[in-house]
Amino acid sequence: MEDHEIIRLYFARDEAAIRETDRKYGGFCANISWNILQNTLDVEECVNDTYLHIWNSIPPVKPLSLMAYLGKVIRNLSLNLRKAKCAQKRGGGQYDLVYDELSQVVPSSESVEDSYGEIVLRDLLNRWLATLPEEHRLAFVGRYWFFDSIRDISARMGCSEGKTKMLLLRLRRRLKVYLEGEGISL
Amino acid sequence: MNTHTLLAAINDISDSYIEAYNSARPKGKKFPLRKLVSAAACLTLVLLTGAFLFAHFYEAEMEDPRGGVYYKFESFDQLRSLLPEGHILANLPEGEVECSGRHKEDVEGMGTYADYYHLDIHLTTPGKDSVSIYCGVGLNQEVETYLEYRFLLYPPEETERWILGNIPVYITQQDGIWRGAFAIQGDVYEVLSSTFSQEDFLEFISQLLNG
Repeated sequence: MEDHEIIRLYFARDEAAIRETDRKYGGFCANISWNILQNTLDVEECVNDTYLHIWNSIPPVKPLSLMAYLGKVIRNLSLNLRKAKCAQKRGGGQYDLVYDELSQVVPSSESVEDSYGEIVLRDLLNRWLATLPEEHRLAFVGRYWFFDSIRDISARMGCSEGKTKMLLLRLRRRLKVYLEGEGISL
Repeated sequence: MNTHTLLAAINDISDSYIEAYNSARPKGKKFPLRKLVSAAACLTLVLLTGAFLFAHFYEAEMEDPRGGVYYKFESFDQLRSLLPEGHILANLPEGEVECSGRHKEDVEGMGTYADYYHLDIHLTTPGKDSVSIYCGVGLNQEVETYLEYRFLLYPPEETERWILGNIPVYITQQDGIWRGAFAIQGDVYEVLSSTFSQEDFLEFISQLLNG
């Protein structure tokens, strides 16, 4: 079923919308959540919460890309759950690795939240991503949005794991320089 | 938590970037021409080295302690043309023959019979019997003296002495292989077969000696 048909079901308040969403994007959602949580029960909980969130938000929201919208919701829910659990202990999987990698980029001061906030940071990121060659952008999105492993990203890009690691390292350095240039003091 | 802020900010990147990654299909690993050429060069080097070593060791295996040059005859007729008149090796029964020998020196072509240290002949008869004949050219030894040096293969207590065509022939059997030894005009002969019975083995040597 096409995305616009599924969205039409949501607007008609037809519960078949959830079944169709699960059929088409269940694996996609579970994969993102698993990369962050590494726990079957938690993933299941997040996927169900995502469907509930979607059910409650559409309408009025009418997403241009259902896949991206679902992805953002489940990623956000998974990160929040992970954050809550992280307060207790670190788990494993790709999340810890990605977190450590991004810690090298982000300034340690509170100024990020104070001065810029999430919206400003999002715009900066979008502008920075737009300057990258497509292959570099894919690697960055795969690693830091999808939380995919280096191996999976390398397979998708058709290059060695070493090359992908090196590319991501250079991208993080470039992002750090870019954020500094935009006034985020490190 | 700044890293969490960044993670959350990344969440809201443009939908098109997310869709682009999700729709990017896994690609096969690139195999550049340079790698292919390197692999081919390495393979060639390994093969050449292997061929050189094989040739070296094969030659070494063929070395005769007395020196000389190994020679493999292409046909029995080549060998037959070397043999002196009335030589017993010309009396071989019908069959498929492979023969080789070792020159005393590196001479042109096959040389003459006297140029050889020894000749080896392997005969397979139409009945599939298999016989090997070794001829030590110009050893100038009595067969008894020769067998004294080879007492492990011809233990005296297990070796029979026969007279075939007025020539003493010593035969024995070990591990299913019949061995016979005799000497004619300074040349020493050994005959081996794993397919003959004793009777047939003696018959074969008799035919060889009587022509």
